[in-house]
Amino acid sequence: MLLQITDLSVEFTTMQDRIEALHHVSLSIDEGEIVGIVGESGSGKSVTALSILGLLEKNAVIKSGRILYRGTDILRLDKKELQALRGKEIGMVFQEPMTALHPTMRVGDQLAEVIARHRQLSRKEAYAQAVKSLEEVHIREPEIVARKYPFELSGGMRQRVVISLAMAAPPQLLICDEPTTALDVTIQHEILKLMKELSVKRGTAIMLITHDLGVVAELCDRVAVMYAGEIVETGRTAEVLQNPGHPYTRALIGALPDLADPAEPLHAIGGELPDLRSRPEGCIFAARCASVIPPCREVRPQLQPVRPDQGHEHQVSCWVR
Amino acid sequence: MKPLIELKGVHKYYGKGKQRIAAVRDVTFQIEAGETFGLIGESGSGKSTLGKMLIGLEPPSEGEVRYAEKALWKGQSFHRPRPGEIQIVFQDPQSSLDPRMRVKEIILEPLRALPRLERLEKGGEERLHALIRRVGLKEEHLSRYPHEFSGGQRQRIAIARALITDPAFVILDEPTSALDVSVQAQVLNLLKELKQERNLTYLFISHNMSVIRYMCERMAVMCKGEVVETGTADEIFRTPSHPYTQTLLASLPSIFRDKRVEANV
Amino acid sequence: MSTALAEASVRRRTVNPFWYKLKKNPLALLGAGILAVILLLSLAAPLLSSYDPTKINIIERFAPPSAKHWFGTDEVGRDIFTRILYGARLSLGVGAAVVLTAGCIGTVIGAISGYVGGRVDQLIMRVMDMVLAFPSLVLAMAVAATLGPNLLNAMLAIAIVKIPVYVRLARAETLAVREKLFVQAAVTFGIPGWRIIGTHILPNVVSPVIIQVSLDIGDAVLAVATLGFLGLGAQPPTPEWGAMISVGWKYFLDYWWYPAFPGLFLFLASCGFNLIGDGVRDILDPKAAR
Repeated sequence: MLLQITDLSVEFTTMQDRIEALHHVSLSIDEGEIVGIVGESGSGKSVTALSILGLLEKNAVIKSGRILYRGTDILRLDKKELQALRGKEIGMVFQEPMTALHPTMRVGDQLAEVIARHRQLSRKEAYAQAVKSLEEVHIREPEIVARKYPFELSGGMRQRVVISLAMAAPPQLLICDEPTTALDVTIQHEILKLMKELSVKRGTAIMLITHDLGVVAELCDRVAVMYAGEIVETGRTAEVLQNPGHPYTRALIGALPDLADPAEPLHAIGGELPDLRSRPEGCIFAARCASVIPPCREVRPQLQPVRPDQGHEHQVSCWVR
Repeated sequence: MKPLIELKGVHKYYGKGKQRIAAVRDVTFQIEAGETFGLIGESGSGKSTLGKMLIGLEPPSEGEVRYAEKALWKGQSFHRPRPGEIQIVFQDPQSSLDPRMRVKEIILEPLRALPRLERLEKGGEERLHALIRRVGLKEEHLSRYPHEFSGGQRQRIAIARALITDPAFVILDEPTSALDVSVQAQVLNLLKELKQERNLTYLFISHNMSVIRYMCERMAVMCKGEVVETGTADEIFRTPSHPYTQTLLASLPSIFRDKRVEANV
Repeated sequence: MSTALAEASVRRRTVNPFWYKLKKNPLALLGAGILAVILLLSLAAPLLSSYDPTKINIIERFAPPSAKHWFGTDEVGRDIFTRILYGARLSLGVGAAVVLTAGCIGTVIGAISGYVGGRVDQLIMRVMDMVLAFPSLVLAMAVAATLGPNLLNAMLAIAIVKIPVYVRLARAETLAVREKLFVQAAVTFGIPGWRIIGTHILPNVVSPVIIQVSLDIGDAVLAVATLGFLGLGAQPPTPEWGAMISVGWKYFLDYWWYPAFPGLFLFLASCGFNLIGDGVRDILDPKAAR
């Protein structure tokens, strides 16, 4: 087990309220595995990523839980240890590539600097490595691109550079928060292919945060569906997408337009996200659920195997079976 | 039948001399009354620029833009057909509603450009209430401010604002791109229903193939300022002829390509 | 990483973060406290003192501070405490009036300049640059001297000098607001430009202007006093702080209380405004935030 999150709850304090952004979240990632966390805005998927990276805002409090990375609890590390871990073991890629790049430094120099730091190479060797790593992320004419500044590159190129920066160490775990959301579909497709390729080649595990089920289907071995700060369903991607067990997952899939049958009206989810200042007693999705039954509003369901006879991987927190 | 919208040899350049960039190159297509016409393209393809030409925000550099057989642009000046005849819904409901106005003022704003009598008639309390309910909001929301609403609700307000003048033609510029999928589904369904009820003609601009597929009867594919393919959505999705369209379709995540109806809710 | 918070937070927000932060800034609160006390004193002047601020009483001239005259009397026997209180009304009122006038005029000009753009914008901004190129006090002195030394002209002079600041501020804000989709939407409805400026631009540029106004009142109070001190502002016997100091400082060695108390109040008021100003600036400057 590379990363194991157990029972993680995170609370934000704003000026007047407390908002529980994560509620008893448990999730694990194996070495080399690609796990998707999918959810809409307010689901807590980004908060999960930021907790692992130790990048939560100051007004966030970890109320319970552990995040074990190869047996060490990340939540107990001090600032320095965390930083070392982030640079070396855990890489990150965010939605907006410009936030990760130095705006006035040539791409090749930025890469070389990181590579030199991690592999104890001379400037020159590191620069040669940098050009090589640009080639690895399928940048054509890497020598020319290495001499450019980030603003001279397109969004897709920038994201490739960021990925190559994040992979420089190379890390054991790459956390990607909406890495392709700002990109065009054709480029998104290529970046996803690239991530998969790098993961297989280097044995890097990837945690992919996204709102897009399509991206999950494309890339991930396993998926966790989050809603309002809770994981409501988890399992093999194909299994979850083909036989979704939770009404929310079903609704999410139903809300996607169908290319084969455009006449079919989309299944929208009625209502709005619940007020996270006070969680309801029962199931978090009950208020918007189409198949709600009496216990849903009273007792909170736990993640349970959908078909215990067929293994424990596909789990769902729902009373309706 | 004469088309409602006609674009003929439309160009748009920015900059001068060597710096000149063509944002739109030689675009020609027509939109029939009563249809939803999709315009798909990636960022920088010029699709939004075309939308702006139709609504009067950007003059074309060359070519003709006609609405109901009348030229919309004479040189740099825009000739509005009838105030409120053409309306637009923008992508970002965060910025398209004035944060300092109440919902009621926002929705009624387009009426200010109308003659007094028509303004009074269309701005009547009853009509306003019916409209706000129709787009899925409540009367009590009228006295609130935009920041009190979610993205989907704000987009509903923007739709109500576009419909208050009883337009014939509505430009939808990426109306659901900023929304979550479940909310996107609500808004798309609403737009489809409203079109039926009010006999609207839509220009639906989007970068999202599956959304275009769901909404449109006919469509044009744009790439780097040019229209590379025009046709019915059925044709284009079944047998894309231009390589760019083929790439676009191939880039769609597989979940869209073989999504089964078994995901019934 | 505001996304994380935005994602987690519920959309409705009722507490204005600006006031919330201001309340947590002790120095700004101190400043506000000082000003509140001065303001209350000046408003309650008739209750606190039975003297007439302009009535001459030669017999009691240059009386030192005592139970009868808390801050002593001046060269014609007027009670200095009373004059300071009435002077506070004048100084604070005039300061606020000057800045508000400049703020209103400047904002409208700036909004028009920014929204219309092109040649109009060029012309307006070059004129404003010219005004800004002069040292403001020198310019105010020149204007006041040309128009004739009295309080109204001094106010006018300071207002003119302040206008460009607001024009620039409002113009910069307008340029940002103009690009917002709601303004674009209004254009597509066919609403005329002047109306868009009135309904969309002005309401959305006033907040920074109001903050700037609050920061500038202190300056204006000081400027009015300066012109008064130089004899270009309020004329005796008006109980204006600058004019009082101007006359009083000649007697400083023999009758220290005469210039000292008006000076002290001018100092306190100026301090109060500056403390609030610093607090506001801290809150608005993201770099200064911890």
